[in-house]
Amino acid sequence: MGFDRPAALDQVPLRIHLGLYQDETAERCHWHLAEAHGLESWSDARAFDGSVSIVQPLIAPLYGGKSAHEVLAAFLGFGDRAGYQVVREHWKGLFGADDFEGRWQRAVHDGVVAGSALPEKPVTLASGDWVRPARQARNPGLEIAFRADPTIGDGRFANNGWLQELPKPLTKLTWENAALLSPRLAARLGIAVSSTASGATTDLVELRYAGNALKVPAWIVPGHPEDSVTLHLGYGRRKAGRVGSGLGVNAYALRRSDGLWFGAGLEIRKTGERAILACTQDHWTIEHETQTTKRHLVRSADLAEFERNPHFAREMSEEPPADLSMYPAHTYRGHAWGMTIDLSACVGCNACVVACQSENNIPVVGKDQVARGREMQWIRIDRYYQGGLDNPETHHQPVLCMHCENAPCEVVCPVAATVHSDEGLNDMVYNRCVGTRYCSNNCPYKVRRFNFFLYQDWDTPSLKLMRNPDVTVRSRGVMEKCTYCVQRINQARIDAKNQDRPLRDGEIETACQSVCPARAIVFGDVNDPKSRVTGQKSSPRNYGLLADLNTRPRTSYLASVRNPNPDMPREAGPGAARASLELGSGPDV
Amino acid sequence: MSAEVATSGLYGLMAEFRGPHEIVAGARLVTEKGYRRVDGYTPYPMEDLSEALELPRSVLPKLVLGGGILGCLLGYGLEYWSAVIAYPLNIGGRPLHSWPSFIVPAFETTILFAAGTAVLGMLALNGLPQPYHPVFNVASFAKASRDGFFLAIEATDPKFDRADTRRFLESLHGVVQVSEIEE
Amino acid sequence: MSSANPMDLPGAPILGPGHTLGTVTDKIGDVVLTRKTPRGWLGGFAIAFGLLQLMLLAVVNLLFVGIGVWGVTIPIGWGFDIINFVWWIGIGHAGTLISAILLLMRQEWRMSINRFAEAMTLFAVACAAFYPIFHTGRPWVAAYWLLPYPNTMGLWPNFRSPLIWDVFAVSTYATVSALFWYVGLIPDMATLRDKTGSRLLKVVYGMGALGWRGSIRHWHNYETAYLLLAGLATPLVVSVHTVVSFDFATGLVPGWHATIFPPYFVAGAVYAGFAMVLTLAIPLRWYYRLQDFITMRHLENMAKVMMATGLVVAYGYVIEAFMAWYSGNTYEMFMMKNRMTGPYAVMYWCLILCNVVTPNLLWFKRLRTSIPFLFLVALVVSVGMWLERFVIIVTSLHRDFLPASWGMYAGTKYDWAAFIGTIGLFLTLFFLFVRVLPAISMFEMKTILPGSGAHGSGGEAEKAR
Repeated sequence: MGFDRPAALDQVPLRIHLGLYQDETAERCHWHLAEAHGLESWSDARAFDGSVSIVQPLIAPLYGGKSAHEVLAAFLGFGDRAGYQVVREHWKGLFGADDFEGRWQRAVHDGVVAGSALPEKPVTLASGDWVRPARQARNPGLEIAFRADPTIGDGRFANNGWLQELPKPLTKLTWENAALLSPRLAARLGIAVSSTASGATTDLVELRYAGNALKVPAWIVPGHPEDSVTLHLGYGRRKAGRVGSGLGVNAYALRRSDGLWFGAGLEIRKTGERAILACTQDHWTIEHETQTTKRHLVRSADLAEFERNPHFAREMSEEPPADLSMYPAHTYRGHAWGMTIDLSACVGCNACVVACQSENNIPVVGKDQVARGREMQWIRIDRYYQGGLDNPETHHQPVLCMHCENAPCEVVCPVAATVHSDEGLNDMVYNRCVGTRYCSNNCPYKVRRFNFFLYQDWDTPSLKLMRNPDVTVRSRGVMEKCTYCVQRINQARIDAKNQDRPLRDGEIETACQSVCPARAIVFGDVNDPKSRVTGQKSSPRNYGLLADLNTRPRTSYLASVRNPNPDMPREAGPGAARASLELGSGPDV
Repeated sequence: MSAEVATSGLYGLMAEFRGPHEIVAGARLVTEKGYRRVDGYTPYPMEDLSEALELPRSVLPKLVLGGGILGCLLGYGLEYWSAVIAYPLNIGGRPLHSWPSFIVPAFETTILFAAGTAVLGMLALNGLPQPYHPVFNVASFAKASRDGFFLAIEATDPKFDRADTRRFLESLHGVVQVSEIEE
Repeated sequence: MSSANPMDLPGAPILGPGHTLGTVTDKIGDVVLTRKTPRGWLGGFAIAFGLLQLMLLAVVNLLFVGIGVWGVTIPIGWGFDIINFVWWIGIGHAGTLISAILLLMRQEWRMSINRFAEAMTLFAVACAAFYPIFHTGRPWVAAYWLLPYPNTMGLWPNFRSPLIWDVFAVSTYATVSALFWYVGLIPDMATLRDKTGSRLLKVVYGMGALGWRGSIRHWHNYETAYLLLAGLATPLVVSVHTVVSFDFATGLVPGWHATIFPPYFVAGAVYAGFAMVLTLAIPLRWYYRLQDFITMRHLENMAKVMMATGLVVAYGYVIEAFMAWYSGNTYEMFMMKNRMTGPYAVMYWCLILCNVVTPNLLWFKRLRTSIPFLFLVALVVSVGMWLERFVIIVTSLHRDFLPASWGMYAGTKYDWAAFIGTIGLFLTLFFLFVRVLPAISMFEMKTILPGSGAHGSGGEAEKAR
């Protein structure tokens, strides 16, 4: 049966809910207790090897919440015992009374109790039929696949604005889930997606599975298996909080406990209604090598091609030399900040997007505004497909302000609100900006974001605590963009000056760089011949995006080199399925 | 003919002509006669009349040229000073003295100052605004802005004589009437 | 109106027969000095004023809520706001062309249309000026930070930015046009001062006339100033729309970055402007029975100017398309293909229909001398020129270098409210002008009467017929 029916819970005579939110479960309980957040609570943990760690809070509970330890202690008759006491008492028992205070202080200071790992135990693999093949769905017809949502998981993060607004890595959808299907299936069903000024409009389809039905907007994903429809969990919540309620559809209404992740026998039909989805990249942007679209934005080659011609990336377009102009180029003595992004390493996880949002006080704008193209994230991951629609190669390209030496945005600002620092940063002066938006029009990379409304929430108290005090919070009517985390640069410069030493390479990490799990982003001083970023930039794979426009970007990319297994089937060469598809309007682009 | 000192209270004499050809002919005769402090009043500009009265060329074009040059210097000077000296900024890697860009606002300030000089200069040369002038005291003068043509000889003209000048004016061809202009 | 009026027929002279200095004064002046405001004027003014209120509502909403109520977004940062700005400024250029350039070319037929055409210029510039201020995210500071003035921050505007060039060009244009127009009005206000019986109006027009008495010495300086102003206004009007075109031409967006823009825009401005002059002249002459002064000759001449500039604009379209292909540049070629076959293709082809096909109908004399047809063509051209700015601005921005950033644009109801509101402002100002000031220059009309003696050998009106 579907998970939507709370069934047995109502039979329990006394129901008390301890939680961060008064959510759908709390609704069905008699009492709700406000829980202290994990970061506000004392606790303990064991690592994978058994090592003990004492968990400390970062802040006293903001709203007087209680941790699970404190609630259980109360139930067990210990009265109003604080979590700190509970944890201490427990470990007093285990450490013993001998120099307990010293050992406790050391454990709390170090974070890990040395030597508390559990002894290793040799094990053998049990024989037998413990690996069962997945259930084969031999029935013809469609399959439904349930997946945890890439950003809000199973729904636990539904009330997190950052995660709701974070574009899902492949589909670039926000604030909503959709029935993901392949281009061929969409064509069979006559589903059309089109781009309009108020968002991406698509067909609303009805999914019928195991006796339940659900209306979901459809979304076309190149490379999706043909006879399968994916639906992400976590949406359709009714009482997730201020942000997360009433978004998307509840996939749990179709999910069955005897087939948690997939099932056969799905029926799908168009309802005739249309829906608007908030997608940050309306176009599939398939690059294909024809006369009209040789843009060479994402450059990639197979290993064999790279070995044959290591300079393949540089040769794809012409970068004008610095001395081409009749005016002398500006010289940068001292530090000259630059960045490289290795496209071979980037997997499109979007961690950099969230890191930037948290570091730079970037507001959340909501579904309607994202649908209109007004999302505020300073870094975005452009997703390009290459090859046929049925099984394309996917490329991810993080795009942020290039800090061009010949910035086209700076020239056109009437009030000089964006100017170039002598370390090569394109500075954005919020309090001078009058909001003509010419800089955004003239930026070929479209990395500039505009505060069309007052997107910041001035009132909610916890948001005031959330903001980074080193970064200006922008109001209505001003333009903003990536600053190479100038606050971090300045802080490092101050620290180095206080310590009377020069800045070290690697001392400054931009927020995006610091969270990238693949270490794809490298930031540093391009005037320092020994810095990592200089090494990256001298690689033959290094190229500038749209460098033929003579913008002289300080952010450059390392072309990706792929090494696919030659035994894997590839899309055939020219003549294969058409390499591009316009959303809803037929061939071309 | 003794030049009688202008009778107090009399600005001059005004002759009304029937039409444009008559006033031009009359003006030539007035000029030939030696009168200099003469003015004509017409509903629209008449080059022939200006020539007949031998009016000197206007100094306005020279003033306008000066105004234009001043505007150019001020405009370009402001741009140069602000971008190169007062608050130099690296904007788009462009040179501080971005003369191709600076030409444009300097062109506009040239025209602005020149045009302003033309208008204000014209008004100043004409002594306008001048809400009161004795000629308005002549009853029929209202026609001057409609379809009337007038010549006025001021009493301060050396050759002015209340009676002689009146007789002379009345003798001109096409004169409808001659009136006294009170101060 | 009886269709037998010879002034409405092809081959009409530039001035109806039998007029004297007095009748010219009366016919034009009585429109202003009449005590009883005609009902048609009241009705029209009521509508115009109502539309003006719409503009006020739109502005207040915009100021308090934000630019987001409009359809602009990333990547289309400019939409109706700049389309309408360029549209209005362009319309203004015809007035200056008629006042200044036709004067320098000694075209006497300008005399009856230059006053209201120059007024049209001023009002169009006023409507245009609405947008540079209110399209900014923070108009309350934009209003003065765009001007060069000494301040505590020690900051100056960025003179490399085309938007600052706009500030200088448009404010110079507004000032010079206002001065030119006012100077032209001085003698006419003197006429009204002398003509009116009302003491109040005598004082008001008297102040406006600055005490003008028609002194030939004053006329002497006056004519010099007038000619100088015409000589200055000519390069000015060319430079203003050139500077407006630089807003686009100096940007690197494909579809904007084109050297043909300055002459193309100037020609387009004159084209749109003459269309608006026709749109105003035809009802004006009909309602106030001014056919003797604005004859078929004027309408036909204006139609010819419109057609000539329309052909220049058509050339611009053709060369743009050709160059996009000839350049071999990926982005340019795509831009052109997108204009012709992309989501906004309908706008592009309507544009071609309105701006290229329609004016070529004016080759035919029968159509060119049909007043209802001329009025219709004028409206179609106005719409076509609006579409041209839409195509240039929106289709170029919505799909430029990085396909991942492509988007779509549509005007919201607030965009339309502001636009229709500016039309209301324009009409309100125009109705007020027609009521309180002479719509035709009285003294200049007198110079072209036969036997006026104004130019030595009499006016062209004397030579014609």
